[in-house]
Amino acid sequence: MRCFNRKYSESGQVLILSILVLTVLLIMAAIALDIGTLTLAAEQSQHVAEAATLAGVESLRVNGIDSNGQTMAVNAALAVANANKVLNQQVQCLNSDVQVGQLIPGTGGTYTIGPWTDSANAIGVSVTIRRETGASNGNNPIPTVFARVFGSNNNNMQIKRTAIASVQIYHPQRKPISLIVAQDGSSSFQNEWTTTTTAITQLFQLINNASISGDEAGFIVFNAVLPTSWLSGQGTTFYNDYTKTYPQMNQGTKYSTDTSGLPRLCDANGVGDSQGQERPLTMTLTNFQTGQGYSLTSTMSTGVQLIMNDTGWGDTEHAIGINWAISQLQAGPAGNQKVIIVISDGEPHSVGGQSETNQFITDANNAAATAAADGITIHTVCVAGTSGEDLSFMAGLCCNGGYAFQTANANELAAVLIQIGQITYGAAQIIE
Amino acid sequence: MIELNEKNGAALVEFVLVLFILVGLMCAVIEVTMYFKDCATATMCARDGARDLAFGRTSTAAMHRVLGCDSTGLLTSSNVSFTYSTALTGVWSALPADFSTQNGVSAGYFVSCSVRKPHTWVTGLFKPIFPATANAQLIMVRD
Repeated sequence: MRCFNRKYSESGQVLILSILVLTVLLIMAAIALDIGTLTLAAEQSQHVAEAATLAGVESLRVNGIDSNGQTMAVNAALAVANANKVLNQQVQCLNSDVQVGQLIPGTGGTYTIGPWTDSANAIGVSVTIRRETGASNGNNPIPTVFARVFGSNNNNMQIKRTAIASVQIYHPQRKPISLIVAQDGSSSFQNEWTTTTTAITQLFQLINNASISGDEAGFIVFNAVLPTSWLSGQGTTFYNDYTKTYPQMNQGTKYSTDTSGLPRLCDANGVGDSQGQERPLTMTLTNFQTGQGYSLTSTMSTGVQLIMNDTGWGDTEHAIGINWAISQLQAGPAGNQKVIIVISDGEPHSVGGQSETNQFITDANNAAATAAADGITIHTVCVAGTSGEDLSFMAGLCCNGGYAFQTANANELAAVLIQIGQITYGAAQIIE
Repeated sequence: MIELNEKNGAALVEFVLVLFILVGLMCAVIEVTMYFKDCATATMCARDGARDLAFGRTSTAAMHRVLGCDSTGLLTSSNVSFTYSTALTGVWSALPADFSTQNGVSAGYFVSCSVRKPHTWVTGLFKPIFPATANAQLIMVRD
């Protein structure tokens, strides 16, 4: 009989070895599972990021590259990102995960998105899809199997994938532009007052986005003969509001004052008007800075708001606005292209009767002729709020390639002004 | 005469016992691996299909590309669906008819490619447990 020695027995050793091997295999399988999950999540995240980025770029192509267009691009990218899923979980992309701006080449074929400048040759969209620890928006890390063994970092794995797409931009070359918008401030334009001023603000925003070094823009509100009672009452406040905001109104020789100290309109040559009456007008003139896409300055915004808060008064004498604009443009940089946009009800009219109205028309035509001789382009926009508009008169004021626009709906004015802006400035275009 | 305490064959018995577990584990690893591969394939197919639709290619061309992504041949057109919607929160409908060399979806609308890739069974041991298809979907904007 063989003696059974438990100490030296080999029974069960295969089982022990197998358990060891099994454990190793299980760990390897778990690692493979985690890696497979992460790889899949990374791939899906990359695809979602690319889809969202392309949506952003497409939005830029369709809606333009100005600040509004960039905001729309961010929203488009967010919408597409958040409509997709990664590992069957809805993506929750944040505003901060989407960047729109200048495409900056790096080393090794990499790119980053930097702050936008108007001189950039390419605009890009970057979208990051992330599943990270501490995300407050539900983008939790990806649950894992193997990492739990180590108990590290909430037992989860983090993923972050970024995609960048861009489009090239074509910048039309042009000279710096001095542009003045002259808005009818007459009582017959009262109904269009706010809409017009709002539209002009939008035009200025467009100009901001398209501006280059040396551009400047201004804003005039003109009316005509005003009753002395208004001048000493509301007119004083009206005038003082603007002079307070725009001290340059008191400078130069283009104004004289009457005995009450109120402004007296002169023509472009500093000569008092033929009617010898006080004709206050308001103006702003702001030099745009060096083509960096500045927003309207706070001063200018304040001025626009002041104008919006005021009330139209008096009659319409286009010559006032045109002459004042000419004088300002002549005082500006000599090399600039000069443009005037006249917005009115298209109704030259004076309470002084037909003869004075005729004088208004003559004055306006003379002013336009002066502008034409000086190489100034005049566009006119007739917002037909009344039945007395004279479209041929408005068209006759146009010169040097200017266009005469007419709309019966003041709400269309913004589109008209933007069209003029694009004619004048040539919007930066995306190369197809 | 065979002695009861003889150890001959014990290792074999133990090995056979463990072998079942090892083989089962190996099969599971293979199936999981194949499932991940299917998921990756479905994801890639969905991306290619959505891109094709987004860039305006016809649904026929997009379908051809999607099916071409799958080397197993298990993916058929019945496993692929193209839809579009005017808004992300709107109703998703089947693609309109192709228009000339482009699909019939208007620019700015949303297009979606959904792929249900049938799982490539190797052992078939885990059919009751494993999903029969690997699903993927990608939504993009029509260019």
